[in-house]
Amino acid sequence: MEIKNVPCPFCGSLCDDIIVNVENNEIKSVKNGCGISITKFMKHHVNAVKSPMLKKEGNLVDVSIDEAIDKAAEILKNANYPLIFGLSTTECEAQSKALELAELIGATIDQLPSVCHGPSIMALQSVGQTTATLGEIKNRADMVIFWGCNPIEAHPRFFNRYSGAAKGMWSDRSKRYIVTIDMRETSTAKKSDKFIKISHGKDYELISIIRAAIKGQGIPDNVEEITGVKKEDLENLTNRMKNAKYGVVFYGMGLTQSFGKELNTDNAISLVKDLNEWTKFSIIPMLGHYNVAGAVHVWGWQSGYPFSINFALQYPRYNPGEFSATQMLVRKECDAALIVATDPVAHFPNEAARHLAGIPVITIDPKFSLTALISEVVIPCATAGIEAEGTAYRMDGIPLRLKKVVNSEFPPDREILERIIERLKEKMKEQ
Amino acid sequence: MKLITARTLKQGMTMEESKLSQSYQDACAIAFLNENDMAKFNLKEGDLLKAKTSYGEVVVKCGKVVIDEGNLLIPMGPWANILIGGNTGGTGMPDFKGIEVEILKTDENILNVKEIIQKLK
Ligand code: SF4
Repeated sequence: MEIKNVPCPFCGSLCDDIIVNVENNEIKSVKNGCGISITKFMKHHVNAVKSPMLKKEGNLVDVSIDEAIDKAAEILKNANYPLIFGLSTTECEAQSKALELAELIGATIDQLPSVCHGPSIMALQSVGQTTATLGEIKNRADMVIFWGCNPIEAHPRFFNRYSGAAKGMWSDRSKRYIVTIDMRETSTAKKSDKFIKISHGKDYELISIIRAAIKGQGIPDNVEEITGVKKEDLENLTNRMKNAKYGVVFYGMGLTQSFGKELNTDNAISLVKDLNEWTKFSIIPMLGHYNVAGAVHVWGWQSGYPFSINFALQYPRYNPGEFSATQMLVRKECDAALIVATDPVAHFPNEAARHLAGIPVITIDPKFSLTALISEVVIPCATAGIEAEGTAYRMDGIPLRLKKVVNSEFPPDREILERIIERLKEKMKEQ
Repeated sequence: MKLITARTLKQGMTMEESKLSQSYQDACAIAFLNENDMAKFNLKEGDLLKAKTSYGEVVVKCGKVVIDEGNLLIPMGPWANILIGGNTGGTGMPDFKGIEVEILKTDENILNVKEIIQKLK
Protein backbone atom coordinates (compact mmCIF):
# COMPACT_ATOMS: atom_id res chain seq x y z
CA MET A 1 0.00 0.00 0.00
CA GLU A 2 1.34 3.40 -0.97
CA ILE A 3 0.79 6.20 1.56
CA LYS A 4 1.28 9.67 0.12
CA ASN A 5 1.98 13.11 1.58
CA VAL A 6 3.53 11.77 4.76
CA PRO A 7 5.40 14.46 6.77
CA CYS A 8 8.93 13.40 7.63
CA PRO A 9 9.37 13.46 11.43
CA PHE A 10 13.01 14.40 11.56
CA CYS A 11 14.06 17.99 11.02
CA GLY A 12 12.25 21.31 11.24
CA SER A 13 11.58 21.27 7.47
CA LEU A 14 8.92 18.62 8.11
CA CYS A 15 8.76 17.82 4.34
CA ASP A 16 5.21 16.60 3.83
CA ASP A 17 5.56 14.92 0.46
CA ILE A 18 7.12 11.62 1.52
CA ILE A 19 5.66 8.50 -0.07
CA VAL A 20 5.88 5.42 2.09
CA ASN A 21 5.25 1.94 0.76
CA VAL A 22 3.88 -0.41 3.40
CA GLU A 23 3.24 -4.15 3.19
CA ASN A 24 2.16 -6.32 6.12
CA ASN A 25 2.84 -3.54 8.59
CA GLU A 26 6.38 -3.17 7.32
CA ILE A 27 7.86 -0.17 5.52
CA LYS A 28 9.19 -1.48 2.20
CA SER A 29 10.35 1.72 0.58
CA VAL A 30 10.43 5.48 1.01
CA LYS A 31 10.29 7.99 -1.85
CA ASN A 32 11.17 11.70 -1.89
CA GLY A 33 12.94 11.64 1.49
CA CYS A 34 16.56 12.66 1.99
CA GLY A 35 19.13 10.23 3.35
CA ILE A 36 18.26 10.99 6.97
CA SER A 37 14.56 10.62 6.27
CA ILE A 38 14.99 7.26 4.55
CA THR A 39 17.07 6.00 7.47
CA LYS A 40 14.46 7.33 9.91
CA PHE A 41 11.59 5.47 8.22
CA MET A 42 13.34 2.31 7.04
CA LYS A 43 15.27 1.73 10.26
CA HIS A 44 12.68 2.90 12.78
CA HIS A 45 12.60 -0.62 14.24
CA VAL A 46 16.39 -1.02 14.48
CA ASN A 47 17.63 -0.83 18.07
CA ALA A 48 14.03 -0.47 19.27
CA VAL A 49 13.09 -1.11 22.88
CA LYS A 50 11.19 -4.42 22.81
CA SER A 51 9.45 -4.28 26.17
CA PRO A 52 8.94 -1.95 29.11
CA MET A 53 11.84 -2.42 31.49
CA LEU A 54 12.80 -1.75 35.09
CA LYS A 55 16.21 -1.77 36.65
CA LYS A 56 16.43 -4.62 39.12
CA GLU A 57 19.71 -5.42 40.87
CA GLY A 58 21.60 -3.26 38.43
CA ASN A 59 20.12 -4.78 35.26
CA LEU A 60 17.24 -3.71 33.08
CA VAL A 61 14.67 -6.52 33.02
CA ASP A 62 11.44 -6.84 31.01
CA VAL A 63 8.23 -6.03 32.89
CA SER A 64 4.59 -5.31 31.98
CA ILE A 65 3.65 -1.79 30.93
CA ASP A 66 1.46 -1.47 34.05
CA GLU A 67 4.41 -2.24 36.30
CA ALA A 68 6.61 0.27 34.45
CA ILE A 69 3.97 2.99 34.68
CA ASP A 70 3.42 2.29 38.36
CA LYS A 71 7.15 2.59 39.05
CA ALA A 72 7.39 5.80 36.99
CA ALA A 73 4.52 7.32 39.00
CA GLU A 74 6.18 6.18 42.23
CA ILE A 75 9.50 7.84 41.31
CA LEU A 76 7.81 11.10 40.35
CA LYS A 77 5.65 11.11 43.46
CA ASN A 78 8.65 10.66 45.73
CA ALA A 79 10.78 13.28 43.99
CA ASN A 80 11.12 16.70 45.60
CA TYR A 81 12.35 18.55 42.54
CA PRO A 82 11.76 16.49 39.38
CA LEU A 83 12.82 17.46 35.86
CA ILE A 84 10.87 16.66 32.69
CA PHE A 85 12.95 17.04 29.56
CA GLY A 86 12.74 16.38 25.84
CA LEU A 87 9.51 16.36 23.85
CA SER A 88 10.86 18.28 20.85
CA THR A 89 10.58 15.16 18.70
CA THR A 90 7.11 13.99 19.56
CA GLU A 91 3.59 15.20 18.83
CA CYS A 92 1.97 18.29 20.33
CA GLU A 93 -0.60 16.21 22.18
CA ALA A 94 2.21 14.57 24.19
CA GLN A 95 3.84 17.95 24.79
CA SER A 96 0.58 19.18 26.23
CA LYS A 97 0.21 16.15 28.51
CA ALA A 98 3.80 16.56 29.72
CA LEU A 99 3.09 20.12 30.78
CA GLU A 100 -0.01 18.96 32.65
CA LEU A 101 2.17 16.42 34.46
CA ALA A 102 4.78 19.06 35.27
CA GLU A 103 2.13 21.24 36.85
CA LEU A 104 0.74 18.34 38.86
CA ILE A 105 4.08 17.44 40.44
CA GLY A 106 5.67 20.90 40.59
CA ALA A 107 8.37 19.90 38.12
CA THR A 108 10.71 21.86 35.91
CA ILE A 109 9.93 21.18 32.27
CA ASP A 110 12.28 21.95 29.43
CA GLN A 111 12.72 21.08 25.79
CA LEU A 112 15.60 20.98 23.35
CA PRO A 113 15.99 24.70 22.53
CA SER A 114 17.78 25.06 25.81
CA VAL A 115 20.73 23.41 24.03
CA CYS A 116 20.22 24.76 20.49
CA HIS A 117 17.81 27.54 19.60
CA GLY A 118 16.94 28.83 23.07
CA PRO A 119 18.76 32.10 22.34
CA SER A 120 16.60 32.52 19.21
CA ILE A 121 13.44 32.25 21.24
CA MET A 122 14.77 34.54 23.95
CA ALA A 123 15.68 37.16 21.35
CA LEU A 124 12.30 36.80 19.71
CA GLN A 125 10.64 37.46 23.04
CA SER A 126 12.50 40.71 23.45
CA VAL A 127 12.49 42.12 19.91
CA GLY A 128 9.76 40.21 18.08
CA GLN A 129 10.26 38.59 14.72
CA THR A 130 9.57 39.41 11.09
CA THR A 131 8.62 36.03 9.77
CA ALA A 132 7.12 34.38 6.70
CA THR A 133 5.99 30.92 5.69
CA LEU A 134 8.36 28.72 3.75
CA GLY A 135 5.79 28.68 0.93
CA GLU A 136 5.95 32.45 0.66
CA ILE A 137 9.75 32.31 0.60
CA LYS A 138 9.81 29.65 -2.10
CA ASN A 139 7.46 31.72 -4.25
CA ARG A 140 8.92 35.17 -3.72
CA ALA A 141 12.41 35.31 -2.24
CA ASP A 142 15.06 36.79 -4.54
CA MET A 143 17.73 37.01 -1.85
CA VAL A 144 18.48 34.22 0.62
CA ILE A 145 21.09 34.48 3.36
CA PHE A 146 22.19 31.42 5.32
CA TRP A 147 23.89 32.66 8.47
CA GLY A 148 25.70 30.10 10.63
CA CYS A 149 23.61 27.25 9.32
CA ASN A 150 24.33 24.45 6.90
CA PRO A 151 21.01 23.11 5.62
CA ILE A 152 22.62 20.94 2.95
CA GLU A 153 23.84 18.71 5.80
CA ALA A 154 21.45 19.38 8.65
CA HIS A 155 18.19 19.85 6.67
CA PRO A 156 19.14 18.13 3.42
CA ARG A 157 16.05 18.95 1.31
CA PHE A 158 15.54 22.44 2.62
CA PHE A 159 17.71 24.14 -0.01
CA ASN A 160 15.96 22.60 -2.99
CA ARG A 161 12.46 22.41 -1.57
CA TYR A 162 11.91 25.73 0.19
CA SER A 163 14.78 28.12 -0.24
CA GLY A 164 17.90 28.20 -2.44
CA ALA A 165 16.98 26.25 -5.55
CA ALA A 166 13.21 25.94 -4.99
CA LYS A 167 11.12 26.80 -8.02
CA GLY A 168 8.35 29.15 -6.96
CA MET A 169 5.71 31.13 -8.79
CA TRP A 170 7.73 34.34 -9.12
CA SER A 171 11.22 33.24 -8.18
CA ASP A 172 13.63 30.41 -8.82
CA ARG A 173 17.36 29.70 -8.56
CA SER A 174 18.18 31.95 -11.51
CA LYS A 175 16.44 34.93 -9.91
CA ARG A 176 17.78 34.32 -6.44
CA TYR A 177 21.02 35.65 -4.97
CA ILE A 178 22.24 33.29 -2.29
CA VAL A 179 24.78 34.22 0.37
CA THR A 180 26.24 32.01 3.06
CA ILE A 181 27.93 33.63 6.05
CA ASP A 182 29.87 31.10 8.06
CA MET A 183 33.26 30.51 9.63
CA ARG A 184 33.96 27.61 7.25
CA GLU A 185 33.10 26.83 3.68
CA THR A 186 30.21 24.45 4.26
CA SER A 187 28.40 22.46 1.56
CA THR A 188 25.73 25.18 1.64
CA ALA A 189 28.42 27.81 1.04
CA LYS A 190 29.57 25.86 -2.01
CA LYS A 191 26.08 26.04 -3.50
CA SER A 192 25.72 29.76 -2.83
CA ASP A 193 26.50 32.67 -5.16
CA LYS A 194 28.66 34.22 -2.49
CA PHE A 195 30.42 32.79 0.53
CA ILE A 196 31.41 35.28 3.21
CA LYS A 197 33.87 33.85 5.67
CA ILE A 198 33.59 35.36 9.11
CA SER A 199 36.03 34.93 11.98
CA HIS A 200 34.64 32.70 14.71
CA GLY A 201 32.58 34.56 17.30
CA LYS A 202 32.44 37.87 15.40
CA ASP A 203 28.79 37.69 14.34
CA TYR A 204 27.61 40.42 16.68
CA GLU A 205 30.23 42.84 15.38
CA LEU A 206 29.47 42.04 11.74
CA ILE A 207 25.71 42.45 12.19
CA SER A 208 26.23 45.78 13.97
CA ILE A 209 28.43 47.04 11.12
CA ILE A 210 25.84 45.98 8.52
CA ARG A 211 23.07 47.69 10.49
CA ALA A 212 25.07 50.90 10.62
CA ALA A 213 25.96 50.66 6.91
CA ILE A 214 22.33 50.20 5.95
CA LYS A 215 21.51 53.38 7.82
CA GLY A 216 24.10 55.25 5.78
CA GLN A 217 27.15 55.12 8.00
CA GLY A 218 30.42 54.12 6.38
CA ILE A 219 31.91 50.68 6.81
CA PRO A 220 35.08 50.97 8.92
CA ASP A 221 38.34 50.39 7.02
CA ASN A 222 39.51 47.85 9.55
CA VAL A 223 36.36 45.75 9.23
CA GLU A 224 38.41 42.82 7.95
CA GLU A 225 40.59 42.95 11.04
CA ILE A 226 37.52 42.96 13.28
CA THR A 227 35.34 40.37 11.56
CA GLY A 228 37.45 38.65 8.91
CA VAL A 229 35.17 40.00 6.16
CA LYS A 230 36.50 42.17 3.29
CA LYS A 231 35.15 45.72 3.09
CA GLU A 232 34.10 45.36 -0.54
CA ASP A 233 32.21 42.14 0.20
CA LEU A 234 30.31 43.95 2.87
CA GLU A 235 29.50 46.93 0.66
CA ASN A 236 28.22 44.56 -1.94
CA LEU A 237 26.17 42.64 0.62
CA THR A 238 24.49 45.72 2.10
CA ASN A 239 23.65 47.02 -1.38
CA ARG A 240 22.17 43.71 -2.38
CA MET A 241 20.15 43.57 0.85
CA LYS A 242 18.63 47.00 0.31
CA ASN A 243 17.91 46.32 -3.34
CA ALA A 244 16.37 42.88 -2.88
CA LYS A 245 12.63 42.68 -3.53
CA TYR A 246 12.07 39.96 -0.99
CA GLY A 247 14.91 38.81 1.24
CA VAL A 248 15.15 36.20 3.94
CA VAL A 249 17.74 35.27 6.55
CA PHE A 250 17.92 31.69 7.78
CA TYR A 251 20.15 31.25 10.77
CA GLY A 252 21.44 28.35 12.80
CA MET A 253 23.54 27.37 15.71
CA GLY A 254 26.58 29.10 14.23
CA LEU A 255 24.84 32.22 15.49
CA THR A 256 23.02 30.97 18.60
CA GLN A 257 25.81 28.87 20.10
CA SER A 258 28.69 31.26 19.44
CA PHE A 259 29.86 33.94 21.79
CA GLY A 260 27.03 36.40 22.33
CA LYS A 261 24.29 33.78 21.91
CA GLU A 262 20.89 35.47 22.26
CA LEU A 263 22.45 38.89 21.72
CA ASN A 264 23.61 37.73 18.27
CA THR A 265 20.09 36.65 17.40
CA ASP A 266 18.62 39.79 18.89
CA ASN A 267 20.91 41.83 16.66
CA ALA A 268 20.12 39.72 13.57
CA ILE A 269 16.37 40.14 14.10
CA SER A 270 16.88 43.87 14.58
CA LEU A 271 18.85 43.99 11.31
CA VAL A 272 15.90 42.42 9.51
CA LYS A 273 13.57 44.90 11.17
CA ASP A 274 15.79 47.74 9.92
CA LEU A 275 15.80 46.29 6.42
CA ASN A 276 12.02 46.43 6.33
CA GLU A 277 12.31 50.19 6.04
CA TRP A 278 13.68 49.58 2.53
CA THR A 279 12.19 46.33 1.39
CA LYS A 280 10.55 43.14 2.58
CA PHE A 281 12.86 40.94 4.64
CA SER A 282 12.13 38.00 6.98
CA ILE A 283 14.16 35.91 9.38
CA ILE A 284 13.63 32.29 10.39
CA PRO A 285 15.61 30.06 12.77
CA MET A 286 16.58 26.74 11.19
CA LEU A 287 15.11 24.49 13.86
CA GLY A 288 16.84 21.13 13.86
CA HIS A 289 14.30 18.95 15.62
CA TYR A 290 10.98 18.60 13.90
CA ASN A 291 8.66 19.74 16.67
CA VAL A 292 10.54 22.33 18.71
CA ALA A 293 8.13 24.92 17.33
CA GLY A 294 5.19 22.74 18.45
CA ALA A 295 6.28 22.79 22.09
CA VAL A 296 6.91 26.53 21.87
CA HIS A 297 3.30 27.02 20.76
CA VAL A 298 1.60 24.46 22.98
CA TRP A 299 3.47 25.37 26.16
CA GLY A 300 3.02 29.00 25.24
CA TRP A 301 -0.76 28.57 25.26
CA GLN A 302 -0.78 26.49 28.41
CA SER A 303 1.71 28.31 30.60
CA GLY A 304 2.72 31.45 28.76
CA TYR A 305 6.30 30.24 28.27
CA PRO A 306 8.11 28.28 25.54
CA PHE A 307 10.73 26.23 27.48
CA SER A 308 12.63 26.11 30.81
CA ILE A 309 9.43 26.40 32.86
CA ASN A 310 9.32 25.72 36.59
CA PHE A 311 6.19 24.81 38.57
CA ALA A 312 7.75 24.50 42.03
CA LEU A 313 5.59 27.36 43.35
CA GLN A 314 2.52 25.89 41.63
CA TYR A 315 2.43 28.62 39.05
CA PRO A 316 4.67 28.79 35.98
CA ARG A 317 7.97 30.64 36.18
CA TYR A 318 10.34 31.05 33.26
CA ASN A 319 14.07 31.56 33.40
CA PRO A 320 16.35 29.68 31.01
CA GLY A 321 19.47 30.63 32.97
CA GLU A 322 18.00 28.94 36.01
CA PHE A 323 15.55 26.29 34.80
CA SER A 324 17.18 24.90 31.66
CA ALA A 325 17.76 21.17 31.96
CA THR A 326 21.52 21.63 31.72
CA GLN A 327 21.53 24.15 34.58
CA MET A 328 19.29 22.01 36.77
CA LEU A 329 21.58 19.02 36.23
CA VAL A 330 24.90 20.81 36.55
CA ARG A 331 23.73 22.38 39.82
CA LYS A 332 22.64 18.88 40.88
CA GLU A 333 19.22 20.20 41.87
CA CYS A 334 16.79 17.72 40.40
CA ASP A 335 16.36 14.42 42.20
CA ALA A 336 14.50 12.51 39.47
CA ALA A 337 14.01 12.96 35.75
CA LEU A 338 11.50 11.98 33.12
CA ILE A 339 13.04 12.02 29.66
CA VAL A 340 10.69 11.86 26.68
CA ALA A 341 11.84 11.37 23.08
CA THR A 342 15.35 12.66 23.49
CA ASP A 343 18.77 11.53 24.55
CA PRO A 344 20.51 13.93 26.95
CA VAL A 345 23.28 11.44 27.68
CA ALA A 346 24.26 11.71 24.00
CA HIS A 347 23.86 15.45 23.70
CA PHE A 348 24.47 17.13 27.06
CA PRO A 349 27.83 18.18 28.48
CA ASN A 350 29.26 15.36 30.55
CA GLU A 351 28.97 17.41 33.70
CA ALA A 352 25.17 17.39 33.26
CA ALA A 353 24.96 13.77 32.12
CA ARG A 354 26.89 12.71 35.21
CA HIS A 355 24.20 13.97 37.57
CA LEU A 356 21.55 12.27 35.45
CA ALA A 357 23.39 8.97 35.83
CA GLY A 358 23.14 9.31 39.61
CA ILE A 359 19.38 9.97 40.00
CA PRO A 360 16.33 7.84 39.12
CA VAL A 361 15.51 8.40 35.45
CA ILE A 362 12.41 7.36 33.52
CA THR A 363 12.89 7.23 29.74
CA ILE A 364 10.05 7.11 27.25
CA ASP A 365 11.54 6.41 23.84
CA PRO A 366 10.89 3.99 20.98
CA LYS A 367 14.64 3.44 20.62
CA PHE A 368 17.21 2.21 23.02
CA SER A 369 18.91 5.54 23.64
CA LEU A 370 22.07 6.12 25.62
CA THR A 371 19.86 7.65 28.32
CA ALA A 372 17.89 4.37 28.45
CA LEU A 373 21.12 2.65 29.47
CA ILE A 374 21.28 4.68 32.69
CA SER A 375 17.51 4.65 33.42
CA GLU A 376 15.52 2.98 36.20
CA VAL A 377 12.44 2.73 34.02
CA VAL A 378 12.32 2.43 30.22
CA ILE A 379 8.96 2.63 28.48
CA PRO A 380 8.83 2.03 24.72
CA CYS A 381 6.27 3.99 22.73
CA ALA A 382 4.88 4.21 19.22
CA THR A 383 7.16 6.50 17.16
CA ALA A 384 5.33 9.75 16.44
CA GLY A 385 4.96 10.33 12.71
CA ILE A 386 5.59 6.68 11.82
CA GLU A 387 3.61 4.57 14.30
CA ALA A 388 1.41 7.29 15.77
CA GLU A 389 -0.33 10.33 14.37
CA GLY A 390 -0.35 13.75 15.93
CA THR A 391 0.38 17.39 15.23
CA ALA A 392 3.77 18.98 14.61
CA TYR A 393 4.82 22.57 13.80
CA ARG A 394 7.24 23.26 10.97
CA MET A 395 10.09 25.71 11.69
CA ASP A 396 7.99 28.55 10.23
CA GLY A 397 5.13 27.82 12.63
CA ILE A 398 2.86 25.93 10.22
CA PRO A 399 1.11 23.00 11.90
CA LEU A 400 1.04 19.73 9.95
CA ARG A 401 -0.63 16.46 10.76
CA LEU A 402 1.82 13.59 11.28
CA LYS A 403 0.66 10.26 9.90
CA LYS A 404 0.63 6.77 11.23
CA VAL A 405 1.95 4.46 8.52
CA VAL A 406 2.53 1.26 10.50
CA ASN A 407 1.13 -0.08 13.77
CA SER A 408 3.09 -0.45 16.96
CA GLU A 409 2.39 -2.77 19.88
CA PHE A 410 3.07 0.16 22.21
CA PRO A 411 0.94 3.24 22.95
CA PRO A 412 1.98 6.72 21.78
CA ASP A 413 3.77 9.13 24.14
CA ARG A 414 0.57 11.06 24.95
CA GLU A 415 -1.14 7.90 26.17
CA ILE A 416 1.81 6.82 28.31
CA LEU A 417 1.98 10.28 29.90
CA GLU A 418 -1.78 10.23 30.45
CA ARG A 419 -1.49 6.88 32.24
CA ILE A 420 1.37 8.12 34.41
CA ILE A 421 -0.78 11.13 35.38
CA GLU A 422 -3.73 8.89 36.28
CA ARG A 423 -1.56 6.54 38.34
CA LEU A 424 0.07 9.50 40.10
CA LYS A 425 -3.31 10.96 41.03
CA GLU A 426 -4.35 7.60 42.46
CA LYS A 427 -1.15 7.40 44.48
CA MET A 428 -1.59 10.95 45.74
CA LYS A 429 -5.07 10.05 46.97
CA GLU A 430 -3.79 6.90 48.69
CA GLN A 431 -1.50 9.04 50.83
CA MET B 1 42.87 25.97 19.77
CA LYS B 2 39.17 26.72 19.75
CA LEU B 3 36.68 23.87 19.94
CA ILE B 4 33.62 24.01 17.71
CA THR B 5 30.98 21.30 17.97
CA ALA B 6 28.44 20.94 15.17
CA ARG B 7 25.88 18.68 13.57
CA THR B 8 27.02 16.73 10.50
CA LEU B 9 25.09 14.69 7.96
CA LYS B 10 26.88 11.47 8.92
CA GLN B 11 26.26 12.11 12.60
CA GLY B 12 22.53 12.64 11.87
CA MET B 13 22.18 9.54 9.73
CA THR B 14 24.07 7.14 11.96
CA MET B 15 22.33 8.50 15.06
CA GLU B 16 18.96 7.51 13.60
CA GLU B 17 20.19 3.96 13.26
CA SER B 18 21.87 3.31 16.56
CA LYS B 19 24.12 5.29 18.84
CA LEU B 20 25.74 2.03 19.87
CA SER B 21 26.88 1.30 16.32
CA GLN B 22 30.43 1.49 15.01
CA SER B 23 29.24 3.84 12.27
CA TYR B 24 28.00 6.35 14.88
CA GLN B 25 31.37 6.14 16.60
CA ASP B 26 33.14 6.65 13.26
CA ALA B 27 30.95 9.68 12.55
CA CYS B 28 31.30 11.34 15.97
CA ALA B 29 34.58 10.26 17.55
CA ILE B 30 36.54 12.40 15.13
CA ALA B 31 38.11 15.85 15.24
CA PHE B 32 38.56 17.85 12.06
CA LEU B 33 41.29 20.40 11.63
CA ASN B 34 43.09 22.43 9.03
CA GLU B 35 45.99 20.97 7.01
CA ASN B 36 48.54 23.36 8.52
CA ASP B 37 47.45 22.54 12.05
CA MET B 38 47.75 18.86 11.21
CA ALA B 39 51.34 19.40 10.14
CA LYS B 40 52.00 21.48 13.25
CA PHE B 41 50.87 18.68 15.54
CA ASN B 42 52.48 16.01 13.36
CA LEU B 43 49.12 14.41 12.58
CA LYS B 44 47.90 12.48 9.55
CA GLU B 45 44.31 11.68 8.71
CA GLY B 46 43.24 8.66 10.74
CA ASP B 47 45.82 9.23 13.50
CA LEU B 48 44.54 9.34 17.04
CA LEU B 49 44.62 12.58 18.94
CA LYS B 50 43.80 13.56 22.48
CA ALA B 51 41.77 16.73 22.94
CA LYS B 52 41.81 18.39 26.34
CA THR B 53 39.76 21.24 27.83
CA SER B 54 39.40 22.39 31.40
CA TYR B 55 36.36 20.07 31.63
CA GLY B 56 37.84 16.82 30.38
CA GLU B 57 39.84 14.96 27.79
CA VAL B 58 38.94 12.55 25.03
CA VAL B 59 40.69 10.50 22.37
CA VAL B 60 39.31 10.78 18.82
CA LYS B 61 40.44 10.20 15.26
CA CYS B 62 41.95 13.00 13.22
CA GLY B 63 40.24 14.23 10.06
CA LYS B 64 41.04 16.96 7.56
CA VAL B 65 38.67 19.75 6.66
CA VAL B 66 38.80 23.25 5.20
CA ILE B 67 38.55 25.44 8.30
CA ASP B 68 40.53 28.35 9.75
CA GLU B 69 43.77 27.53 11.48
CA GLY B 70 43.29 27.24 15.20
CA ASN B 71 39.82 25.68 15.05
CA LEU B 72 38.98 22.12 15.97
CA LEU B 73 35.62 20.77 14.82
CA ILE B 74 34.07 17.77 16.58
CA PRO B 75 30.57 16.53 15.63
CA MET B 76 28.09 16.73 18.48
CA GLY B 77 27.85 13.50 20.46
CA PRO B 78 29.17 11.72 23.54
CA TRP B 79 32.83 12.36 22.65
CA ALA B 80 32.47 16.11 22.15
CA ASN B 81 30.37 16.32 25.33
CA ILE B 82 33.30 15.24 27.48
CA LEU B 83 35.05 18.47 26.50
CA ILE B 84 32.11 20.78 27.18
CA GLY B 85 31.27 22.33 30.52
CA GLY B 86 27.92 23.04 32.08
CA ASN B 87 28.35 26.78 32.48
CA THR B 88 25.70 28.59 30.46
CA GLY B 89 26.40 32.22 31.29
CA GLY B 90 22.80 32.74 32.34
CA THR B 91 21.38 31.66 28.96
CA GLY B 92 20.59 28.08 29.89
CA MET B 93 22.73 26.92 27.00
CA PRO B 94 26.24 25.53 27.45
CA ASP B 95 29.15 26.89 25.40
CA PHE B 96 29.16 24.38 22.56
CA LYS B 97 31.38 26.56 20.41
CA GLY B 98 34.54 28.46 21.18
CA ILE B 99 36.02 26.69 24.23
CA GLU B 100 39.83 26.57 24.51
CA VAL B 101 41.13 23.12 23.64
CA GLU B 102 44.60 21.59 23.48
CA ILE B 103 45.46 18.65 21.27
CA LEU B 104 48.30 16.19 20.97
CA LYS B 105 48.99 12.98 19.13
CA THR B 106 48.38 9.88 21.20
CA ASP B 107 48.40 6.12 20.96
CA GLU B 108 45.66 5.68 23.55
CA ASN B 109 42.39 4.13 22.38
CA ILE B 110 39.06 5.71 21.56
CA LEU B 111 36.49 4.86 24.23
CA ASN B 112 33.27 3.37 22.88
CA VAL B 113 29.85 4.67 23.92
CA LYS B 114 29.37 2.04 26.61
CA GLU B 115 32.72 2.85 28.17
CA ILE B 116 31.87 6.55 28.21
CA ILE B 117 28.59 5.80 29.97
CA GLN B 118 30.32 3.55 32.49
CA LYS B 119 32.55 6.49 33.34
CA LEU B 120 29.56 8.74 34.01
CA LYS B 121 28.64 6.70 37.02
S1 SF4 C 1 14.94 17.68 4.92
FE1 SF4 C 1 14.35 17.14 7.01
S2 SF4 C 1 12.12 16.88 6.98
FE2 SF4 C 1 12.85 16.89 4.83
S3 SF4 C 1 13.09 14.74 4.32
FE3 SF4 C 1 15.12 15.44 5.04
S4 SF4 C 1 15.12 15.05 7.28
FE4 SF4 C 1 13.02 14.87 6.55
